[in-house]
Amino acid sequence: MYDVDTALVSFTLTFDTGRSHFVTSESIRGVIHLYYPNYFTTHGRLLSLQCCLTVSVLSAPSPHNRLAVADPQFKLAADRCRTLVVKILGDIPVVHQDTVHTAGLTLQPSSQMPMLQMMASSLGISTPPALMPLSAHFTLENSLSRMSAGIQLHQDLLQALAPHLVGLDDLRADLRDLHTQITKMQALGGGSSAEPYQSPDLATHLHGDYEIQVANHLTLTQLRAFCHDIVRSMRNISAYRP
Amino acid sequence: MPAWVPLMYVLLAASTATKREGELIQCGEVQTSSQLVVMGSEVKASCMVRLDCPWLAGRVTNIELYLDSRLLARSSHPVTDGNTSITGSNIRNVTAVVANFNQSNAFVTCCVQTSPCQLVGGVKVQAGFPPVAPGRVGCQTNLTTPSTMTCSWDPGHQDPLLPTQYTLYTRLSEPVEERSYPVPVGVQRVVLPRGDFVLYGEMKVWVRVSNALGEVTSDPITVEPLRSAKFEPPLVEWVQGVAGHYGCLRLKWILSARQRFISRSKMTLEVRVRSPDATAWTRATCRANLDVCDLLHGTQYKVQIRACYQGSPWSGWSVPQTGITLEKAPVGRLDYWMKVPEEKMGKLPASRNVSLFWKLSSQFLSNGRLLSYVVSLAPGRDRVRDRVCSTAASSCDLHLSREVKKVYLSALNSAGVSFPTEVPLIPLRGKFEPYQPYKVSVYPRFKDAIGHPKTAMAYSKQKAPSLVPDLKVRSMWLPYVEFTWDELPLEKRNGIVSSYQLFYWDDPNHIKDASDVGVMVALSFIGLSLVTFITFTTCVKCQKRVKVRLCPMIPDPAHSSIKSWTLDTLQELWWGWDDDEPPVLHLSHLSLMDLSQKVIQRWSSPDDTSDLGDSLCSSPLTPTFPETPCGSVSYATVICTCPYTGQLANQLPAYQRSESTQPLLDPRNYQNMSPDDVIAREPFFFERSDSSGEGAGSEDRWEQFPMLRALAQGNASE
Repeated sequence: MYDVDTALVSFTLTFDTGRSHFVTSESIRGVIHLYYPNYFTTHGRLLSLQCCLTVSVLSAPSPHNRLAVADPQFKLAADRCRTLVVKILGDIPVVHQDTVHTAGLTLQPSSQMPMLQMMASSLGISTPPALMPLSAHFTLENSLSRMSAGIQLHQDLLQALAPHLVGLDDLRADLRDLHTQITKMQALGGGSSAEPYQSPDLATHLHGDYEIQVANHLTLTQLRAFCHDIVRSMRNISAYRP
Repeated sequence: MPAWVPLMYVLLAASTATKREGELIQCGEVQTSSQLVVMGSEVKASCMVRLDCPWLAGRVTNIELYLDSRLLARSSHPVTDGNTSITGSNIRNVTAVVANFNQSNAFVTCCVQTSPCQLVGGVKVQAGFPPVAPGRVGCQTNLTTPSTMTCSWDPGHQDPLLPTQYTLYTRLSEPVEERSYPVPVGVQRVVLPRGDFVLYGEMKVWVRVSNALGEVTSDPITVEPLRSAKFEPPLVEWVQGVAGHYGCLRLKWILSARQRFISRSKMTLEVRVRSPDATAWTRATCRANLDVCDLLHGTQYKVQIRACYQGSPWSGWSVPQTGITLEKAPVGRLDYWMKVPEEKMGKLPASRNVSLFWKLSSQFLSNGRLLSYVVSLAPGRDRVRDRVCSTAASSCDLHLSREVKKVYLSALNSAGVSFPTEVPLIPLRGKFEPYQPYKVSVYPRFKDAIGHPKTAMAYSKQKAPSLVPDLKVRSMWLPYVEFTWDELPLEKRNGIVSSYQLFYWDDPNHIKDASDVGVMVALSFIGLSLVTFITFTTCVKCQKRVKVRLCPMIPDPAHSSIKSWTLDTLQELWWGWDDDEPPVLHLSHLSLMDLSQKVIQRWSSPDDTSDLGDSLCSSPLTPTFPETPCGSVSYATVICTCPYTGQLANQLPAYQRSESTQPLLDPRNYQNMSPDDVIAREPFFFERSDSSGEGAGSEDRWEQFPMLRALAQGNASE
């Protein structure tokens, strides 16, 4: 049986506000667009509710997911994940300030992001996998494996930057610890699927200081967005009740 | 043996070496089982000597093995536990065992006994202690930028002569990794970078110590970095009282910016508060919603907090924040005292002026900032029309109707009015029996002590004494008659005896008052016995008059009928009283004297009694002490100047005063009571008892005197 009520409440709140919890990340927008092509072109409330009902029927966690979410150890790991993500989100501005000294590369607002898309591609900075609310098509396993892949991506990006910049060690350690907790949640959730992941080839593209600065800026900016998505995902996961 | 001698032995031994391929290259060689041993362990030593060594040239008689200057073995006559053996034809071997080598270092040398002894070799042997496992291994996480973890240990007592090497080991559980951190000599701490420890991941930590004699490891400890973190002092954003929560302060706090990722719900808080007049901080209990309770109302507190995470060390105390608890109506009594101007006898005016003073009792709780004090005629706290005074000062001058018997004193703050303190306007309260003597003591209260009291006797109501003194003729010599009588028992007096009056007659139909003849009366107290001299004297100015009227009429006092005066006869003298009590007339002893003959002893000025400014419970009964007017009537002395005018015929008899309820405490009336009188030394005010144990049971009576009780409590607390 699908847990229709829970999903209904969740998504009604989501779309009534006119925004999705999961569309703030640039990387996810395409995925949402794929599932709900009218969402980004129509902002009417009626259509939003229509989408809501559609999603309500489709979204439902598996019974196994519900059991895993109720596990105290799982909850503990999730809570630790939340704490570590909050720590990373608090550290990113400090790290950015300490390591990015190129004019125009500011964290708030990240106005140059559209201009840096070509640089991102040329430097080999790939985007993390998209995170979405749990549904029949996007299970807890999927969510955790994508979190794991996304964290691993940023660990690799920072590792490539570490020889060139001072001040990334704490952030890398935080990501490592976050990954440890995600791995623990995966084990408790019984998931075995792994998101296909390919390590970025950033190190070979860091030819000069400017590339390092841009790559660092892009990595931190992208990491911040991804952490926000993790927070939303964790909130969505923790909202399920057995 | 000098210290340099062993070294010389080694140098000399080296010089005796001869190089022969494939053979013992020296003339002699010393070997030991080990050149570094554990202190107290066994050391084996041997010495091999080539007999064909050209330097010795067959002159060897014996071989000696030394430990510093101590002979261990000799080839010909083995000493102690050494022995000698011949290995082959050319080499002689001497061995010895030192069972307990307990020197930090020593030289084992070998000497060939020629003439003189020739050293052929030597070895330095050292002894020391194996390492001791370090203690108190601990780690503390510093959540700073960058984050680190500092692990330290107590090195313990290691051998100071042997180089000691420390190495810290860590083993992470997730991911499983083991790291080691060699530590420079002399350092007992390691700072781990953030990458070497995992938040929320347990880690085993231990220290390995090694020196040349071995190695040992400490007991491993388990460290969870966050639980080992010493947090920075938290920040108190605000502290304030919350509506409906009296005695509580609610505080809002946050962790420092770098540590704010930790949920506050995971933290343990400790709160301490300090009121402005407190000298030390007080730990406070913290309830839900971070309410610090059990505080005084309307009081400003400084609040500090500190935090820890699941058993981690406490952070430092936060910067103090100040908050004020909600005010509540004041609680407690006010100590008060009054100043009532003395009123003259006669018709009293319809109103009177009363100066009322007060101060907070020790039990009084302001519960806020006191705004004013209110004096009311009724106890109702809200009846404004009954208020006769409202002031922020600590006194009020009241103009009250004589019908007002009490007023009510309250303190006021922004939250309400205290329960009124009843202030009776009559001097004393309590169940006073009429005609019973009470002693009233006034204690001067100084800053650090309570002075000696001034005590007076008082009656709530008086009447004529119940007994007449037994009049006796002490001596008689014409034209003098001297009478004496004993003091009346206290329980028979029914009041304060103001005077004695003596009547006499030569004609039963013509009774005369002794005072009418112009006498001076004085009473002299000697112990408990009152001896009064009544002297009909012919003083210079009166003599004529007395001679005329008295002397001829008393031809022989020994036969005077005064001896047979009885009550029955005296009843005839009764001229009536406005009293329901049966009239009892008692004769008093009189002493006639001239003012110039008697210096009246007075108490010292009442001004020296106390420092009322510092009084805790200054009595509202404290009388004023105007200058004593000359010729005032005292308790036991009637003074008149000669010629004595006597009491006016139209005046009431002196002892009618015993019926008066007018002030009985005026010390002027008791001035000639001896300061040594037991009454003056009474510890406090109590009902007079004839029992000798006057102070007995006094404690029971404290309850009736809240001011004195407060005085005693205040004194006890000091």
